[in-house]
Amino acid sequence: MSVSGFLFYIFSAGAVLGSLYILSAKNPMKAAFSMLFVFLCTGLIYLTQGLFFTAAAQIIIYAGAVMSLFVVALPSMVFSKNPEKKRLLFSAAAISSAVLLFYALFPSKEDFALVSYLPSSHTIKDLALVLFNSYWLQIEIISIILFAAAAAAYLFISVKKEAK
Amino acid sequence: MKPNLLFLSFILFSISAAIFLIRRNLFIMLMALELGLNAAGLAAAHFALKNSKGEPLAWILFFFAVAAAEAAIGLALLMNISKKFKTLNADEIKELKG
Repeated sequence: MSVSGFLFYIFSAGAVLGSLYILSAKNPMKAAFSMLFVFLCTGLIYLTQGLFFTAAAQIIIYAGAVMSLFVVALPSMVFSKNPEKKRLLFSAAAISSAVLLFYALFPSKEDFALVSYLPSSHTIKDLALVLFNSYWLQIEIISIILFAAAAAAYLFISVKKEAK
Repeated sequence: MKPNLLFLSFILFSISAAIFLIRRNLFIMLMALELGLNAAGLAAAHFALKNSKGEPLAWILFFFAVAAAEAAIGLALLMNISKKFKTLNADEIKELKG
């Protein structure tokens, strides 16, 4: 087994265990830090596959910006002291949908087989050419969505202040 | 051993769907949505590496942008909900008032 293959399995196990911890965590702050761990593991998985720019973006945007937003916003929220009700019906629904999705995604054993990926030859220049040639409209739309999201988030908070 | 990013993304997406369905804390449900988008990014990376094309990598960047926008709006909404209802438990929030 190559070093990158070994690291892939280590970080994959970390990501799966971290997300399973979120499922059972009672403290939201611990769940948020577990989420941060999952995002870091995912960034390192990208790194093991040679996707360096994607790994850097994953760590800066997801593990950096998004998770710091979660951790900063968490103390200002009020949580109920009542314990959550157990939802056995939904647990059964979640397991059965996962099984159905598994058979939909991997209908034959060949799909389930481990893949030998081609060595990644993507450079940032290739990505930029794709983004600003084929996907220029989507880039513009995404920039508008981000601006609208920032404005909407500010509006939600400021309306509450005015009401006081 | 060879990796399979699609299988890993399936596992992470299933766990995120399970968290969304089972947990009743709105904050953790929002985190489950982020985890699902993260899993979708892993699936896009699988197709980028399998077909050696750059387009799926562009999709991953779009996923990042959507996740950032979703987190900003979702957290602002949750802060308002927690101030109004003094809880973030979905079972205890039953009023719908304009």
